[in-house]
Amino acid sequence: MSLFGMSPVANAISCGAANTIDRTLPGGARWELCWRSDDSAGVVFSDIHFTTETGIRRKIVKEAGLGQMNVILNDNSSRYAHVTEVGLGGNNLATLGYSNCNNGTLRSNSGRSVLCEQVENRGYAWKYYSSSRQGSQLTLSALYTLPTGKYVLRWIFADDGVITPGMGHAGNIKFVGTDTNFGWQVGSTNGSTVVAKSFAVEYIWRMDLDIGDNGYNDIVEMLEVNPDSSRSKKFLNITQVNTESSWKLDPLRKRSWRIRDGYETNSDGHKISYHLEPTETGNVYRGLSTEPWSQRDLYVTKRRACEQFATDNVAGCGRSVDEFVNGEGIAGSDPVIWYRTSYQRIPREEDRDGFHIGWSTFHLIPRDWTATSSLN
Amino acid sequence: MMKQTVLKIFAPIIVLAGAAFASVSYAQNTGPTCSAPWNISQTLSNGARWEMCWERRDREGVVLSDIHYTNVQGIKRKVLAEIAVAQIHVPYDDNRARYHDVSDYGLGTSSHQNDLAPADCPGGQLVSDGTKNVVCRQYQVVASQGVLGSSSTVTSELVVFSVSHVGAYNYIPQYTFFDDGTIEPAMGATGRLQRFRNETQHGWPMRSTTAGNFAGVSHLHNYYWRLDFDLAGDGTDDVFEEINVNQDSNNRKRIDVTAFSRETARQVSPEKFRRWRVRDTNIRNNKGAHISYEITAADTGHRDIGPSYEPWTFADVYLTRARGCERFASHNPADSLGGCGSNGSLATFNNNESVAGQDQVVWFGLSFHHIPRDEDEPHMHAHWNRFQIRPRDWNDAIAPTPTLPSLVTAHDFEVSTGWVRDSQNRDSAVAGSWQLGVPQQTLRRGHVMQPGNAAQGQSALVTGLAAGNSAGDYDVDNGRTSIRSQPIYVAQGTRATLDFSFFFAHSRSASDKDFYKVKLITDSGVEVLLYKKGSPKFRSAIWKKRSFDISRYMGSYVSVELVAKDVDRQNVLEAGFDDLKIVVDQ
Repeated sequence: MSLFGMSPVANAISCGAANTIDRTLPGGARWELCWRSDDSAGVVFSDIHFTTETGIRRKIVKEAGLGQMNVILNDNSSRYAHVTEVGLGGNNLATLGYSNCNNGTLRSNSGRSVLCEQVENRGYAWKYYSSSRQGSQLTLSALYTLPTGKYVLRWIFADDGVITPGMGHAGNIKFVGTDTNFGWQVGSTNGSTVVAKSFAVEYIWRMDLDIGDNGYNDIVEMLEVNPDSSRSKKFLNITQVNTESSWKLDPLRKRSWRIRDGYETNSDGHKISYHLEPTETGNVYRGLSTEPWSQRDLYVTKRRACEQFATDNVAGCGRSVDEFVNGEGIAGSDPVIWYRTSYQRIPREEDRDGFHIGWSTFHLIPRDWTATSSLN
Repeated sequence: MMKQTVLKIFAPIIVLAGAAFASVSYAQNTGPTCSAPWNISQTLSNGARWEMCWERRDREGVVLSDIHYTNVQGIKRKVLAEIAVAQIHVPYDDNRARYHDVSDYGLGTSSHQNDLAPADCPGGQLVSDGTKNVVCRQYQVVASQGVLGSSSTVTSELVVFSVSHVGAYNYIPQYTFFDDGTIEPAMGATGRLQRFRNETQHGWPMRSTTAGNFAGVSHLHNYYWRLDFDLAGDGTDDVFEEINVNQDSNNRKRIDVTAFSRETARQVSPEKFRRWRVRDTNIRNNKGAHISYEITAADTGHRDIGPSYEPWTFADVYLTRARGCERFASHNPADSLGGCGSNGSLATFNNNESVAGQDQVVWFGLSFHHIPRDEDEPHMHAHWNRFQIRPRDWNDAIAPTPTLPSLVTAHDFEVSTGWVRDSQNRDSAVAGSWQLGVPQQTLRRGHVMQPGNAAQGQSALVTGLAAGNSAGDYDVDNGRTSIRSQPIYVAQGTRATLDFSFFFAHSRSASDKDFYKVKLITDSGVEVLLYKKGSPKFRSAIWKKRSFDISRYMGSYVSVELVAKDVDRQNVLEAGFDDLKIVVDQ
């Protein structure tokens, strides 16, 4: 049955107990998903389902993980494509202990604890005069030990349906030189200059969202807010994306994207959707002409099995995500979103004992998933 | 604030093999002088400390001042003379409302300042100004970032927030003070939507279109903060710099630093990784670098350049000469402290004055454009904007030095400390499970099977507290019973010891299949600290102490687990545990 306003019965996820996360948060919201360690992409999540506190259970994501992770030194002396060169899985996915997973549950892969599952308070869900409601979240974290440092994968699944994927860079200073044009002087006490080199980390996420019961009727829309000539008024403009496309961020137009179901609505009759609103965009890496993918920030492509990696892709398809965009129609297909985030590290004296964790995150926010807030 | 006395301590000269002599000055400050309830001080898990004062003003709401950070080397320096919210400018997309919430309505008036309830401040402490609970302060040990391994497994932070309701909106000005010296100012917006209309070109349909005013109107929140830095106590020797990363002709990305000697207005530039810092031109860390605080914003996804009559929106970051009457990014009232004209704004404060040798103010703006969604009724989820000010070369690295007192974790079992019975779902005993409370004495043939006291205080962990009709009641029978602590963090230090008290008793029908174990569950496996086996003779219950060196677990979590097992029902077997202490010497 799939009447408007009704939510079809979603199937149970089936990936075996060891690979299933099924967590009901204190208020009753529930997240179900599968996880696995991929040799290249590291921890990949799939079949992500959310059940609201009001009991509406729907699928959001078919599969999501890193499509590439590049590290580029500012002095151009080295560049790394970690996903395709060394891979984030296998032994690069670090073994975790209690000290990595306070009050959490460790999940194992091939006999090693590699994923930390935590339920945490997240402060106010909402506040209104003398009424308020605290929120909670499921946090899944893993640690990669890579040639350029330690990296934390962290996905936060909140009780209001918001998903916050993120990668954080940490670890010790790995690259030193002498030229302060491309790094920062640290640790000098005796006249000799030690420069910790600066570098950028470029993360390219690959996300196949399946809104509702069927990924083949999802529609991608771009939202922009355009001012009138006096800049006093702003007009919301929604563009349906019918063919493969790519864009730069545009903070002044508040450019954003949403994936909505082709027919399924909430009980107000509004199409259910998830909204990718770029908010944490303080660092945007733009590379050389040999890195054409770095000229755009979000790509929508038709799903193809051989389009696996955003750069250094496998043979038989385009070499990088910019080449995946070649005019194919995505209406009625299963679109894949590639979203690029960056982090620029300029070391400090304080980092000699280990870098503070530098996060690169974004949000996937339910939009009209329910007719009113599910958190009362 | 203007000039303050700087206490200069000339530390002993550091001599390195073959190195030249270098004199090092550690500027230190004495700290804020306000008293309760206006003083907020917090020592963090790594030994660092934050101290500051707060006050409530009608317009700005809660203002923090005299903010001092003591790093892990024990060097205390002033960071900010004052930080305040300088405006919340809310223009609606339909141009039918353009609010200036801070200057025109006020976050701190008696009708707008929220009186916080305990439910608003979980795990924290409410601070009253005598009329209302204005501030919630929370000390949090951050777990979710503790996945790092190695040195940074645990970080801690002090959170200070208040709530102001202006119309339907409830704003949450919040400041987080991290143990590494970082400050994160943030603003949450929640409550209810303020405005609805009958059309969607400026908003989003939220109700049936047959209902009146069915669409929530989109709008901006342009947040501004006013930051008066006084690095090491004196703002007049601070310089404001912009850091850009520019691509050069050799495909390299070069770090360029530009200092400003006059007032200026700057925009964010993510592709240049642009950031700013305030640097002290006199004070250096002991590696010879000038101390500074860096200002970064990840949160620049929404920006706005407004109409010509709102020129303060044309830039994101402003540097101005500190003037007491320049307090608000827009609609700055003439009455604020005298000396400024009416209706001033950042666009008029920024008039090319020299800032060289002057106390300076940095203004930081962030925007959030809110397109409503169905979920925003009845209550909007709290949506946040934040930025960071982070020490750069402020400290000589961050490792603690051995000047701190010992760190102690103590479980005296006078109240519950969260131990979980049968945490592994393996227990089989039919009676005598572990309990927390006051034990009752039992005897078997004159032998004490369970003492009538705790090792310390009144209460302990004991297998079956009650005495019953005979010693054979409420003892362990037909299997095992276990209880496990929550993970306990063993901090880094020079030495860690674990002490506890225990008793173990049984009647003469015991065998070597019966036992009492105290185990340490660690990252690297299970270590048995105590293993007492049964034997076919009476063993009386006597509290004893044990001490163990657990230095090898510093920097990680351990859990303590107690297991008692009695294979049959006839034998009497009792065990107890009390007064657990983990001491880490610094």
